Amino acid sequence: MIRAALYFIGFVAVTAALIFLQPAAKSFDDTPAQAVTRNEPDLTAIAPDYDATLERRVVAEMVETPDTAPVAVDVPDLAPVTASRQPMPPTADPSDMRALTWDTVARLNAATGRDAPAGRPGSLLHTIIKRSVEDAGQGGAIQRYVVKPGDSLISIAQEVYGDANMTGPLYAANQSLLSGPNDLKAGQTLILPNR
Amino acid sequence: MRNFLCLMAATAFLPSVPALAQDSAITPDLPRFETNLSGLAVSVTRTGPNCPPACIEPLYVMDGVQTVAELDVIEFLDVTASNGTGLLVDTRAQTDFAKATLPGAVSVPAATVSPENPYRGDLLAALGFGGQGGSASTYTLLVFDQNAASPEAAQAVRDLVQAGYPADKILYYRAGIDGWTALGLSTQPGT
Repeated sequence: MIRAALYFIGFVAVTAALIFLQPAAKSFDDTPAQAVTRNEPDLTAIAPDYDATLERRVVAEMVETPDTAPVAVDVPDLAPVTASRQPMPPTADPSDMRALTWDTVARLNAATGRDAPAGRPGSLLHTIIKRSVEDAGQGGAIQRYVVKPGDSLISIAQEVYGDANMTGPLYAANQSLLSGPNDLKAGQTLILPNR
Repeated sequence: MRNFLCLMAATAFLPSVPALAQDSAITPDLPRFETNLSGLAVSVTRTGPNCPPACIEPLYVMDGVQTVAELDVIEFLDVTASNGTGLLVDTRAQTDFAKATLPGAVSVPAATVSPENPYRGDLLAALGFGGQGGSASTYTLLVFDQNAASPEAAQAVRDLVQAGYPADKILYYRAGIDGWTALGLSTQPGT
């Protein structure tokens, strides 16, 4: 009888201890699998003007504002954020510089009325195409140099590029013609690599 | 304790005091000017924005580039700009241009003609420089900025000449928009 009473007391004590402490509950809360999160995708590639900080500010304000006072998400407070993004000071950022330059070119063409027909030299389309061809073909026509008596690779690099460090690239570009760096003959035509 | 707090407050405001009436150099080589006229010490100092970049520009910026005044600007608009061979060029930032500029001006920020701009060739082509028409199709530019102590116009003139733009096709209105409005002449928002 006493043994049964001890079992009962033991059962109640353990149950009460489990209910109070709930040892498993805490680890459940901490499990990341419980939390539904979302990776923030990088949208800058498809929308360069997308301002992630603005969105975060809006979200933060909405979270901070209790539901009882939804009016408190006031638009005037957000306005300076958008306004401060609009004036784009000229920076060294190449894409800004391109936008600024092309905007200026468009203004100039509008002012002069000299806008060339699309695709013709002087038009924006022609400029873009020319630039992409230059980037891909590295300047279009290959530059050549005819070796003069007394020339060395260093003297040619110095003469053409003003830079003796171009000797290496110059030799590399003409390795099919030269058996060694000193194998230069007057009258030979060398290919000049781009810097 | 109160004394200490006052001292703290005074210290916090201290750095802002010299910023209000700031001594600045006249040109990079001339912080201030002092001389002696018949035994009397004479000095010229300058307050205002820091130099560099806001240095007093010389009257002539580059060899061959003429410096002009207000009546020349009006004559330029009357003759050169209206017959389509010249452009009145505002070299300030586009935001300043949009607020107020000289009537008939077009915005070409100084940064776009700087050698650091990889797209400068496109801009120079739009100015008719380096094209098939040769020098005849190159626009005459009358360049200005905010005032004689703002660096944009002078820098643009230097950059253009160094890029090979003919110096005799550039005019420099040194007084800038401040000099123009100081005389009561009208401005308009840039478009």
